[in-house]
Amino acid sequence: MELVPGNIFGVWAMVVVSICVLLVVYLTKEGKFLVKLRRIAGLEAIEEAIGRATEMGKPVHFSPGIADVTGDTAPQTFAALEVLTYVTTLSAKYNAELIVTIRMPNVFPLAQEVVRQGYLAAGKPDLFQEETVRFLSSEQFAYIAGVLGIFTRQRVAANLMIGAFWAESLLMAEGGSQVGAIQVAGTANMHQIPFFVAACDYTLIGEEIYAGGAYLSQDKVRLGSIASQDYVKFALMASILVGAVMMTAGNDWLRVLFVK
Amino acid sequence: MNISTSIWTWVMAACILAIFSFIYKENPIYRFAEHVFVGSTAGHAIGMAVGNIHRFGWVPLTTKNEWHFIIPAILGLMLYARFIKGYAWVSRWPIAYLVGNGVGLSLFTSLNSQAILQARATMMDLIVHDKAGKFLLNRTFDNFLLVFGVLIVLTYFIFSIPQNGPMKKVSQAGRWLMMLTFGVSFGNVVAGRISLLLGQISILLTRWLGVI
Repeated sequence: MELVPGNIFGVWAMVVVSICVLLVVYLTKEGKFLVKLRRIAGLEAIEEAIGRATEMGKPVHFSPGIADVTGDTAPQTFAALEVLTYVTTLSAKYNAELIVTIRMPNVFPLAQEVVRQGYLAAGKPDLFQEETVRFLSSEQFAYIAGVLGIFTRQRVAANLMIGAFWAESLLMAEGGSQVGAIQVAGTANMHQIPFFVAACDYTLIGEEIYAGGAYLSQDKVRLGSIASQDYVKFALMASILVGAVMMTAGNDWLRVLFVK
Repeated sequence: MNISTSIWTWVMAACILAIFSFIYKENPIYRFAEHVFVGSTAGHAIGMAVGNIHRFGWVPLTTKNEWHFIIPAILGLMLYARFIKGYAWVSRWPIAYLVGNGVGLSLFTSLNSQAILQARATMMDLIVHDKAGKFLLNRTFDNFLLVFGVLIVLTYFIFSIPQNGPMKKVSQAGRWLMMLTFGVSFGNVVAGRISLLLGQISILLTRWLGVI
């Protein structure tokens, strides 16, 4: 077996990163390494949003984005489903009505399972209804048309949008704003964040959504994973700085190494 | 004025206006258009799915003896086990297979495209000269902004280290830098959305009403 030129560095980097992640996760799990995440305001606001919806007696809407469970944007969907676990637990705790809308058929059974298990874990399996998780349409704008209809007919009081969003982001955030819902949104699709910042009460920027699962659950394995990713970021930052200084000195060795 | 006589152009115009009526408020006309839109796309998706199963599964299996297509067919059928009481757990296997494949496939591509190649592209000359050796102030400023901008913004995304003192200052600077970028991006996209609106109005005025 021979590695394809152009991918050699990437493959070795993947091996090193994986070892780093596994090591830090192991140490965190064993209690030899303590991880404490910084405050993420957007995630803390979720409880406030659900609490407000409960007081008003109106539903909470959650969208895990419109991406599938495969491809580059899949991690955003998984991050959204982790936040959905927390949202379900809180909804069960406060007896708030939860509506989860889905665009991708593959995400539907996953979301349904997450919500069902969430209610079960909270000791309130009866709260789970078949219409809690709703598949609307696999067509992007038909999906958003359906979501807007739900917003206006059911007057949702809290709108939580975590995951991968594209052109529908502003439509959804604007629709939520029109019905007066408290809105928490987050995506790693950087081109859509400006809309969330403009139209929502709280916004999770980029990687903050990946930290969401660990932050909300305080699960040691997930916390270790976030800490290890921070170390990888430090390594990348150092590489960028050294690479830029070397380029300035007329040496492109590090730059070339990255595409070996 | 040359109003269209095509029934489909009238249907198209009615649908566009019905959806636009949401700008005023949620109303029965919008609701009708919404349900037609959602329902028709769901129906279309089912048609496409059945067609794909026939084209990429059934035909190779029955006419070309490509028996390995039986595996995705079985996995697909296992998904329906969730409707059989006592056997719902069977439906978790194809989901696990799908998620496992998804994560596995995106592991290398995500790291390569979103970290390694981005880092490489940021390794730039911090002092730029042209071929004649003349110092280029603008390019130098651009490169400085790009390299240190990336480093500052990345600091914002460090979660496991307490953000106190200088770290907090750098992180806040990263946040401001992002907000500045978001503002520019917002302006660009709003301009793009207006052009989409103009496109729809243009369709109504040309293809439907024929006034331009």
